[in-house]
Amino acid sequence: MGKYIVKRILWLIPITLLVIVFVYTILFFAPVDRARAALGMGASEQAIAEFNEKNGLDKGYLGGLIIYLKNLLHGDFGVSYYTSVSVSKQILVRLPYTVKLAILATTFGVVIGLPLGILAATHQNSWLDSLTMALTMFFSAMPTFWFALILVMIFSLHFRWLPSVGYESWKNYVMPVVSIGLHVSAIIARQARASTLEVIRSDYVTTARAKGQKESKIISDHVLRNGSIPVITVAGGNLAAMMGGALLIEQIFTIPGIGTYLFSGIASLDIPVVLGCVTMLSVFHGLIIVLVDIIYTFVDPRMKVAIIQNSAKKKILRGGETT
Amino acid sequence: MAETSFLEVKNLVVEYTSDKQVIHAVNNASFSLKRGETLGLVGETGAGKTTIAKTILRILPDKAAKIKAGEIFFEGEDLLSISEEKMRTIRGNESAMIFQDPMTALNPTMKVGVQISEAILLHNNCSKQEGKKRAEEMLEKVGIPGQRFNDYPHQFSGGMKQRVVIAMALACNPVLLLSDEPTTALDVTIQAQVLDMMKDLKTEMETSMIMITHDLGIVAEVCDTVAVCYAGEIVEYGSVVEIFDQPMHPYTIGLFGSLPDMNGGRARLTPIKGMMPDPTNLPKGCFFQDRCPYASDECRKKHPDLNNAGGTHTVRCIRKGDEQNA
Repeated sequence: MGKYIVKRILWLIPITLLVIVFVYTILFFAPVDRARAALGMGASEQAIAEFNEKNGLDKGYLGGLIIYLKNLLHGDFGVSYYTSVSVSKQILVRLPYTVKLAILATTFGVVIGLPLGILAATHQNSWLDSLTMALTMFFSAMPTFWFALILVMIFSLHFRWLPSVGYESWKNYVMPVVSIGLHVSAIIARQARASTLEVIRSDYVTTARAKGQKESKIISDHVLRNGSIPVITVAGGNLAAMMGGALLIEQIFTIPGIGTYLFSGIASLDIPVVLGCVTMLSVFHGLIIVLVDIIYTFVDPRMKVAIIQNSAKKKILRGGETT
Repeated sequence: MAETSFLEVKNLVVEYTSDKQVIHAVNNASFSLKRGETLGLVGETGAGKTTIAKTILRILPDKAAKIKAGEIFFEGEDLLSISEEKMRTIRGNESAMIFQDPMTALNPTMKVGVQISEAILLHNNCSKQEGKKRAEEMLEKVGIPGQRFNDYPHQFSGGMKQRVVIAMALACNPVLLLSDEPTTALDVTIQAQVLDMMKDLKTEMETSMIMITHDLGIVAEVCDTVAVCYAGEIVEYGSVVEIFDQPMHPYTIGLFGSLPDMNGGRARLTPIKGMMPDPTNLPKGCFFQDRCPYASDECRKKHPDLNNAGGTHTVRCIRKGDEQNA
């Protein structure tokens, strides 16, 4: 198992390199004169040449890439073209906000969504089921930023209970977490309901019933574990995606996370900023997927065999991955 | 017939509802079982055999299935009128079921030992250690080393899984065992092993059994009485000797006709032509009329009753014993 994990983590290196090359290529060939964008239209030829030299833009496509990768090897993500601020420093400062938001929102989603989905499944076709399904349909279809704005209107403007901007107190996180978390919980509830329904109909649940087991114990001992496997996939995928920052939510609540940083980098085609964020994102994404796979092996003993012996089989067992 | 039967199923009617259509799964089935005896429920797929067994344990799917009529007396009590709590003390304890497919009947994320001790802990006032010890004993009994308590179902072969399922069913020494095609999913060589083991355990524990099967060979080997099911009703009922020596219902005769003869008497098997009638739309008159070579006008008009044909032998056919040499 340990060997497998190390192997999986080592695989992240070539994958991340590939991601860097892709993103660098797209950004490099974007038709923008970065020097003029940074220094203004009236900048002198000499200032432009200096800017290009300082940022390695005069080395061409390949030269620039090699310099970037060389610096990366020493842990140097470069500096922003426009602000000359170290990218690695910025990421380190911003990362905690994004991680906090991602973990809180995903936890919120699982804690609310999983029981709700199971409840809906065990009461299939009842009013409770219909109500849950209607609500989850609404919350999964609704954009999070829209709901965030509604929350701001109610809790900041009307009641003045919660601050609408800032990041110091726990109060700042209530609305961002709830607006993303409700969306996540809706998706998880629907997934949990579907997988629970499938497990409830399975033969081994009938077997448990034939043993004289109580319905409540059947759910907790037999259904929950088997039904939670697809839920782990969804929750893990969501957490991984959120590592890139919840772009709009960070913007709305002015949380200085990775999302806002990446957004500003993309808007100005600031190669070091975008590459720094994307590298970090792909590493986290990969690590979370490895983590999810490890969790699988604890939940379902068959996964251990499948994952270690045959990675092709693993894909089939896990089913379609949805993010 | 001095012994009173300890399981008596009377006029059982079970229906499934699916897409507003009513499926007549079990129609007026009656049979009884004496202590220590084995009854074979024989018939093709969809004849309602499994439904009968699940009705006895009351583990039919709540919403889809409905027990419309009938009584099931088990040791003098009507199982269909007792409370769910009371029923739970019977399930897995006095009456247990062996399921058809060992591949799906075991929880893939639970240790097999835990699945066996689950029933033991439910019905006996004992500690977890005691439950574990007894589960290990059960594993040994079905020929699996007790150390495999901590293994998961995927670490077992099909035959071994079926042994686990059997160990699970026998864990609380049930007086009534419902075996739903316990060997269908297994290799022929393993079938014989499992069957022998079941026979031995049954004798050892003095268990009565209902053996659901479509394999007449198994019936001949393990059963004392036979009930032949067709379209949810019992069309012929009697002791193994009576049924095998003198099958009377054209369907039973057809079943024997579709068996290969080891003595080389026949060159070809004679299958029963046609299909079982649609259970949502059963014909008036005899259910077997469309496939019966002897069907007459009367068969299309009147639904035949179970007629006595000598001894314990009864048959649901108007021809009764007319052509016993058929």
